[in-house]
Amino acid sequence: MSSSFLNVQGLRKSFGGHLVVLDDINFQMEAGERVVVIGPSGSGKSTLLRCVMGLEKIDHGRIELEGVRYIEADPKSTKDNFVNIPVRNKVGMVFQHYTLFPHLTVLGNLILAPMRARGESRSSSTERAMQLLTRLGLESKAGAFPGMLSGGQKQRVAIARALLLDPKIMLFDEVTSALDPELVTEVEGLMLELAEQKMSMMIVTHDMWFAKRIATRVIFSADGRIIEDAPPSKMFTNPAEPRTADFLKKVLHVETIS
Amino acid sequence: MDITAALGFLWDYRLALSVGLGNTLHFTALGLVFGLTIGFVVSVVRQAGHPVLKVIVTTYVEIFRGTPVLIQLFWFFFCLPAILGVELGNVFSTVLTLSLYMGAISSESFRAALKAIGAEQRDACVALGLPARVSVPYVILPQTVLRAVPTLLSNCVTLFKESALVSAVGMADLMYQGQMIADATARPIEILTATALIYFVIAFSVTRIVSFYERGYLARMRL
Amino acid sequence: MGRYTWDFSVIAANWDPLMAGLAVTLQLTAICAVIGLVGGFLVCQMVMSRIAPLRWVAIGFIEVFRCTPALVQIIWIFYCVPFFFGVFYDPFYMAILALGMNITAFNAEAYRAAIQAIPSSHYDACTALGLSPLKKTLFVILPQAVLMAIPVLLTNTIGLLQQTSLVAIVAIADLMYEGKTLATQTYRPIEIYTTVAFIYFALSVPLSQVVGLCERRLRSRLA
Repeated sequence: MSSSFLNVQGLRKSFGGHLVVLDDINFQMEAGERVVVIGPSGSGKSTLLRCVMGLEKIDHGRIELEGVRYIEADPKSTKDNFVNIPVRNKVGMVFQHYTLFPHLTVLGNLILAPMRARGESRSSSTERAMQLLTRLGLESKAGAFPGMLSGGQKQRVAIARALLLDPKIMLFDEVTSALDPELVTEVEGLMLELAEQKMSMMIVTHDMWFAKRIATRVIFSADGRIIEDAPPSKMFTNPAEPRTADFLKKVLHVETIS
Repeated sequence: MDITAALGFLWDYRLALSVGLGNTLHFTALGLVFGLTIGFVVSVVRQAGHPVLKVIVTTYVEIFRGTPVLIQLFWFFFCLPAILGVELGNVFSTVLTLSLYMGAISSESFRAALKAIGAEQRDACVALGLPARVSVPYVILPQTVLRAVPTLLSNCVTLFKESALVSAVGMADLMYQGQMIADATARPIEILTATALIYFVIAFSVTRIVSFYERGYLARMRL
Repeated sequence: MGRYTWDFSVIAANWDPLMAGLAVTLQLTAICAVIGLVGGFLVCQMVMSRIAPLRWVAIGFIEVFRCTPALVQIIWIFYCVPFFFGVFYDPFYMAILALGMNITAFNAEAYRAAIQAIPSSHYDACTALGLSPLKKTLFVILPQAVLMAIPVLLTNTIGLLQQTSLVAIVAIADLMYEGKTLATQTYRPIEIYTTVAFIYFALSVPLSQVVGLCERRLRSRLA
């Protein structure tokens, strides 16, 4: 038993038993850390986040939050993991394609889980939701349907929807990849704000400049393994592993960024 | 052909035609209510039911989609009562056939809509900690229904049109009344054209509603 | 239950008329299917034509045939074509006329939906590659449209097979008609109708399997 805030032990994930996307991942992070996962496409970055959220059936391993095991591979079941749902519900996640519920308004999206799953009253959840939307400058959109919003607005609503559940840790899976370049900053700005408030985060992104700005730690993964784990200052200027250097060279077209 | 005379002639038979139309709408409405219920249940069973149940309902859907409605009607009129050894009544047989047919075709519409709700929406439900008792009625069901509405309305039009077949087993629907008057008066042109027109106006209006709904409501939500 | 004793020897005894009926059904289906494949494409071209009157005629044609029951179409054509045009063709040809126009309307919609599903970037790419409008239609648009329309066209053809049973009502000796006649003659409606239903079903099932196969292959090819 480790005392780490988030503890991933011996995580293995394959699709159909052959295609191994995560191979014996061991990884710890402390509260308030912001871990950015980088690596080539297909290196299992998103799958790692999805496993931490409990969206994937894992072959082997376990995941703990604040010392409590909440996901563990169940060798007897081919469909489900062992899951401690109340603990898992302390994890929040935002996806690349927003995944807002298209038939509900912005406000409806925000208060659905607090009201229906957590038993909070409509008035109290609405009040909290409106406060949050006001903070994000989205209060005028409360009655709008997601289809009427810009991509940046949708993604900020998606983040707000997750935040309203008071998560201990937030997972961001390529949340700016589907956005037009001019809309990226509004979402990244919100994430930087959360960073200032010491929110624990795991982030998968292709944007190395943003990674450098927000990360307290950067993980380079390839072929389902963690190749290198270092602070951004080291990772982006002087990576230890040749594979990391190679990757950064390809995506940045320069040797290092500063 | 003199239009005024034709209209006058039709006016004389307005009562018989409206009785026929009333029956057509009556059979269609009952077929819709029972058929949509059957269709929804069948689609859920096919998605998540017991394997044996799945085989049974899939066979049911295939049989009713794979045979002419006319033979289904004949079968439920002449064969089922004999096999069961009980009198079922003509209206009962009519509504039973139309409901089972509607159930089979609408189950496919429900199924397609259920499938169209992406895995991402289900992921979002997990990430928000929504248990099935919340995600099914508040996320999955409303989206299924909203998406299925256009095809279901088309299914309704299909059922409405197929209901004309009940005239072949002697049910006094619009088609039957039209044919009877045509035969009795030897003026088929006016009567049959009027009959066709009545069917057309109703079916066409519903198809307009479908495209209005698709362009307006669904486009706004980008479902 | 169980009171009824099944006796399928009646089927063997009347095998020939049933097969003769089946032959008529298959002929009707095949001829109308070909008419529908070609006619549907032509009508679809008319719908997308730049000449407004052509468009109106085509849209009117499609809506009339899609929004009225096939039975009404058949009966209307049987009664009214001889009256308007002063000719009386063999009932078989009248049936081909009615069913052929019906499936043409439905197929035209299938082609149109397929053509509209071709992304506009393909048109831009053709322009960028300097293809003439004719070459664009022939080598880029047409092959894709036909490919994408195949599942719906096949589904329509299955529908056609079942619709042909309607001609029994106007006394054309197809499978349905032979079944009806034999059912009355032999007093064995249960065996006869069940067999007839089974034959239609056995013809439809392989076709619908092909539809499923086409959809899966198309999805992987055009993904």
